[in-house]
Amino acid sequence: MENKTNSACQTCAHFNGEGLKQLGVNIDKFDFVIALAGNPNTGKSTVFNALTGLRQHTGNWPGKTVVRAEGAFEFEDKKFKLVDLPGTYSLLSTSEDEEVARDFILFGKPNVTVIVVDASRLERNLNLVLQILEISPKAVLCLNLMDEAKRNSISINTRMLSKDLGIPVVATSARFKQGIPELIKIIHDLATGKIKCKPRQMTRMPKKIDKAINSLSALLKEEFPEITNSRWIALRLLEGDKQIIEALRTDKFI
Amino acid sequence: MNITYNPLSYLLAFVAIIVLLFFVLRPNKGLLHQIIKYFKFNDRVILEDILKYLYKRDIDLQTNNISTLFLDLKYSKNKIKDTLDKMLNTGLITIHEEVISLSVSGNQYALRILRAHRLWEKYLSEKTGYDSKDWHNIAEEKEHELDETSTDNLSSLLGNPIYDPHGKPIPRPIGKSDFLEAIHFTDLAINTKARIIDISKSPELVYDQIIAENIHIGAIINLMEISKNRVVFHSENKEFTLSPAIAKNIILSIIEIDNSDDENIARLSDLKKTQKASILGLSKECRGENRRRLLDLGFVPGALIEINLLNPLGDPTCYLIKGTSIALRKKQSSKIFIKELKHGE
Repeated sequence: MENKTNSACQTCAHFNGEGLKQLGVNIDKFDFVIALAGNPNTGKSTVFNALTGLRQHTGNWPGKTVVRAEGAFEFEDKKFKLVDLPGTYSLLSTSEDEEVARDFILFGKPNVTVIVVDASRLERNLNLVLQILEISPKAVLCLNLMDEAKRNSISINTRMLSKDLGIPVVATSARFKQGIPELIKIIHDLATGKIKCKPRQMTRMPKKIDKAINSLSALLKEEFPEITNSRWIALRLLEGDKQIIEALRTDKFI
Repeated sequence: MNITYNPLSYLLAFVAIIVLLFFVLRPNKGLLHQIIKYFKFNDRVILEDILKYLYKRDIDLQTNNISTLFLDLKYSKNKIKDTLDKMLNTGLITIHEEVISLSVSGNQYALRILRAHRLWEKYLSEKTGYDSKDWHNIAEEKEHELDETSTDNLSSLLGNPIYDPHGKPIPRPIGKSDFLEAIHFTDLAINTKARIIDISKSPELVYDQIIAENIHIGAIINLMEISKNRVVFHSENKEFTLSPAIAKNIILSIIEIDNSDDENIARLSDLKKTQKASILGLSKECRGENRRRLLDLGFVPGALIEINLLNPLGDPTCYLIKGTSIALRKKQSSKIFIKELKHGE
């Protein structure tokens, strides 16, 4: 039996094989792991189906009642594993769905996170987008339901949006299979490092909180040098987020 | 062989059995339940109920003597007398000239029960689907079953909340509770502002009336007139007139700083179809997961909101916020503060 050679990724320090295994994702035969996130009712499943065709199966997240769908697609000789996260309004866990989504993006460290948003309801969808940008450095915005937006006479300046957010933006209408090839190309280019993104971070904060975050994040960087989003974690610690505290304690971040 | 039977008589018998079963098995008032309750009653429960009763009346500035206990509590006079003796012996209460007062240790004990009660209500509100009107009754029973360790565990499970789902403070473990100094309308001078920090739950009729008038804990009021016949005050852009007997149930606290223009605050439940408003914030009564969810859906300060669809039955109402239609019940929309925008704003 041909043993699949280790891809360049698996030998890299940033590869998070262990973390992904814990979350039940088998990455043995794949090069990259892509997470699919977004608000409910944005057409995530349609995008998912458009990308993976029939190569998918559904199950449950380990230990939870939340449904999970996994699929795969190939592009330019690279194999991509696509994990569909539950539709959520935010990552600040108040329900199992949000817990699952956040845990995957935070600890699973997918190579690319595709955020599917509803083009006709951009303002509310941006809540989740901005939250994801704070914890995941590689993301692409999939501006779905463009046909709906057109019907409501909404037009979006995707270039401006991309500049403002610091990540690539692809307009799609998954139902009519429009924009999918562009999306796949962008995912590939992001994953392989061909294009880089500089996601927008929260800069304006009350002075007192800013001071606290600075000192806490400095300590965090000392203790856990691999952490890239120390400011976000510092903020969660100040909020008293039990899961983050537990994760730090059990070395889930390393 | 012809066996004749009258279907009507069988039907009547069936109905009679159903009616009988109803009276026996009815959830709270049925015969079976009463029997179970009777056996459940042990002395500790009675003692704790008396403690709570004394504590609450202390807050309400009412004196306690044996006759009031006999009147208000549903236990037999003998049981009450025996329990009071026990409490006297263990130093939980003192009796001076017919007036019963709680000792320091009695106070602490009562606070512990109150803590268990409010934490359980918080648990019910956040982790279960029980209707809010049931929380108090369920907690009334559960509070006796929670010992100190369980209560502390419950508190950490819920993230050590400071307020119960009604916005009332949950006593801290050392028995200290940050109760603000409680006053009544009769202590207030005309044209002074105060904040409603509590509404007495008994008598139940009075409590229901106050709630029906849409008076909330946390609301800021400005006393306009007080006389033998009525109490008039302004709150949230509305004028309220209550009889002194009812106003007595509202517990207030004077607010030191007079910064916000609280008289012009309105709640989302008051918004009319033709008006537009901007959100000012969420009330303190709105906590935990509800609060988080509302914030995530876009009910943040500054957001524009208007009514999208009205329900012919009155509740829920559909609001247009951040480009989406969200339906809220009156229970939820009454906890959102808004500022009405005049035309052209």
